[in-house]
Amino acid sequence: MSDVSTLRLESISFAYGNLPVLDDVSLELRQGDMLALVGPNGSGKTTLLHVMSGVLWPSKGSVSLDCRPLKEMARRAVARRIGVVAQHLDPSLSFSVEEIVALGRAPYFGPLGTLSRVDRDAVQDALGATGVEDLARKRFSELSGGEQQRVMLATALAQETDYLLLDEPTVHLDLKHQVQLLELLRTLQKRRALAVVAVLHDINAAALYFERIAVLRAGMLVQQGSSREVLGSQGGVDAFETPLHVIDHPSAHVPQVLLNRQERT
Amino acid sequence: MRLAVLPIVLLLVLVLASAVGDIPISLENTVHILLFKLGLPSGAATWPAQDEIIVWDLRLPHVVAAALVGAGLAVAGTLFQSVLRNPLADPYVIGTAAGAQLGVTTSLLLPVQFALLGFGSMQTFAFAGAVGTVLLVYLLASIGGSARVVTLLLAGFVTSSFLISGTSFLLSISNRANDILSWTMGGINVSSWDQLKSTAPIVVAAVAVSWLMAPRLDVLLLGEESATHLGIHVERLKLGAVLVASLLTALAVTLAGIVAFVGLVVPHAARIFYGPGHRLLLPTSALGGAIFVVLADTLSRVLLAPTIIPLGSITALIGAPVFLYLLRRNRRDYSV
Repeated sequence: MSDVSTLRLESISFAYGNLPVLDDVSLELRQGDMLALVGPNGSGKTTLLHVMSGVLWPSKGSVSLDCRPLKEMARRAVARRIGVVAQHLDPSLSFSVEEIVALGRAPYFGPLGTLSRVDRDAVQDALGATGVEDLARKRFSELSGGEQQRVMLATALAQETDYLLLDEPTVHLDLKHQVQLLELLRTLQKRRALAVVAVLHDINAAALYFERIAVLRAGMLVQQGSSREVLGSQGGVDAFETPLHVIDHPSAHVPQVLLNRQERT
Repeated sequence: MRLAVLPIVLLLVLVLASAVGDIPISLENTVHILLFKLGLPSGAATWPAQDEIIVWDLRLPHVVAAALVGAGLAVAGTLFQSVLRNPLADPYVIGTAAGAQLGVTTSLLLPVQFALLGFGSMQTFAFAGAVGTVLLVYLLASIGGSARVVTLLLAGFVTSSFLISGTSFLLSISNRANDILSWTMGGINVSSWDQLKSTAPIVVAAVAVSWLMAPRLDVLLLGEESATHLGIHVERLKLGAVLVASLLTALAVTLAGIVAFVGLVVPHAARIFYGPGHRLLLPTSALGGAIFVVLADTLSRVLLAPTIIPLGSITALIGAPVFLYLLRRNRRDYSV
């Protein structure tokens, strides 16, 4: 095993029945990486995330974690390494916030599911890191959408994995909470050396916060690299299937895209 | 302590139910007889010998059977609700009980009876009917590997109706229709300890096994996908829970025939008082179900004595309004 943990996807293809969704996708992720998956609707981003987390098995190709095929690992062992932030939880769950976050310790549960000292510390850390410790005793169903999103992140953090996968984590958040969440991901990646993969629709947020961007189009990985490499190339911009204008961020100096209104005659 | 409430209430209800009946026995004597029989200090034996037989040999097995039926149905309901993630799932709603009933009827019509690993033919047929029905309903309702809640309930309803018709058909061509009918409608048909010898340990064991699934069932409440991400074998857990729930339903049906609404109402009430976590929910549902059915059975015996009201009518008469009330009151938290 090398010193840095690696999640490797090798020529992955996946189809739902006869409908091909992913076509020969190869991707490598190392601990400490921050990767944004972008691309138009239906390009296979969420499916790719599911293949990475071992929920879906590819019809071709292989996924391996530190050179061990994911398929040969026990479900629990995978869950101790790869965490996924739920996109949506039943908003009427009447568990308290603390109880939900404690379920993030499930991969470490003994037969009776009682929490050890270590488990409790991990839950407190996760509550603190996401800033929801004041809500710990509140019911999940009483929280706002933004608060629920932070609780779902806290649950995945309590899992203490090396890899954290997120599917459109900012989609229901206002600007302030979007920035908070993205800053939090960056802090976590720095402090815990997490590998973070997020499916994002907001290319500007991806360019601003993520070191690497991978662009999917019709199930194929068409571009991969830094934001400058991806948005500086014609192929990267074309993948979005609409005319875009690329400019430089005045203070962060990363590329940002502007929408182009179509001229009418 | 709120955890002690249910066991104490159950104990009181068991004593009370052993005292009342067509031959009433004073509470004092009942308590003394029970203590004496359990080998506990009971004072001098001043009660008539026949009271001892009535309380210990005839009434208590009946009352304990009622408690087992209630506990089994309530735990089965809790399991179905958690696995199907639908608060309306219940052994009667999804057809399990109808399958078990058809199994029981079939076994009663068979010319031969057998025993399989301590299981009588009635229990075996009931279990086969229950499991077969769950699997059939799940297959009918599932599209692409997962069952939508609405389709599941509809499939359960249709299958249930079909199986009930099947049972009626079997009854109509049989010359023992009246026996069987009075058996399925007659409530708890246990009047000796012998009849509980094989069933009681299995019910207790099944409830214990369900409790071992509690932590994983909690995780399942987050959704199947999240549970998978948290290391749970979702399909394996669901199959295990469905088998345990079917077994409990089948045993309840062999002991008591049709007893509706217990699996629906009791877990609902338990959730309100004890929250959604299964480690507390499963045992409190079991105790609550036991209390509910013992009380309902006692009412069925004394309300219009000497006429016995069908136990299923009593549970439905209490259960349906309570369920509707819970549904209205708890609308915001309408979820497992």
